Amino acid sequence: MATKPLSLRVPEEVRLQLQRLAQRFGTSPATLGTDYVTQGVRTTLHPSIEFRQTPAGRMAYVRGVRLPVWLAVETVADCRGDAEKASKLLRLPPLLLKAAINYAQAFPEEIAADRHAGRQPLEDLAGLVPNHSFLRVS
Amino acid sequence: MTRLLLDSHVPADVAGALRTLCPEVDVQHLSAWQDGAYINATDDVLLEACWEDGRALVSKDRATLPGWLALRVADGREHAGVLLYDLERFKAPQIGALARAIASALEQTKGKLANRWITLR
Repeated sequence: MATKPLSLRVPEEVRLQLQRLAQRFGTSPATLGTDYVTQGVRTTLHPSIEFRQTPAGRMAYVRGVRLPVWLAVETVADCRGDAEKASKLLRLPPLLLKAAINYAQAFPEEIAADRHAGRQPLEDLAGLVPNHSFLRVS
Repeated sequence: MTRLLLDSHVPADVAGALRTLCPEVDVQHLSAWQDGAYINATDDVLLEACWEDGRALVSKDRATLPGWLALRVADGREHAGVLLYDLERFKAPQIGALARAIASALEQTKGKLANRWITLR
């Protein structure tokens, strides 16, 4: 995506906090600031979405529930596009689920990346979590 | 008694199906567990709550959960166990198939899930 510069004036305390956070996350204040502005714009435009920092990076969630947008989309796909059925299975208000779908349609690449992370090969889990085992079930 | 917590994306009807198959197991769905106190919890908070309650987590989220669990273990903390199922094998509407698979896993493990991550396949 093409980027353009934007000049901002923030209180000194905020500048220092941003600097410390960037250091903690191993990134630059400019990159982190861009990310925060992007999140702010997106949550204003999509108020049913919130962002969480996870070990897999920043991820979009349905506001108020521990449901990532990619899993909401996955459930609708499991129901062959039937959002009403999916909302019943998830016990989620249909409008909230539709808001998640709207977000996924607005940012397909982001949700595709989250979905990709959620479909990492099962074999890789053994290297990620200690005391992992597979169990064959009928 | 074996205790399970079904994560938010696991259809709540799986709880009912599991109670029928395994009446001796205490199965809760996140939406109702502890009056919905953890409905919006992050993975790390939920793993801690599960540990305190001796309740293994049933989930299909392999995007974030492995990372949180690895961090927890790195901190020297134990966990109550995770039963992960394959989202490509068990589609959301397949309530009965998923419940039977979980019941089979409980039978094979004799309900001993603490500090284990078991992937159903």
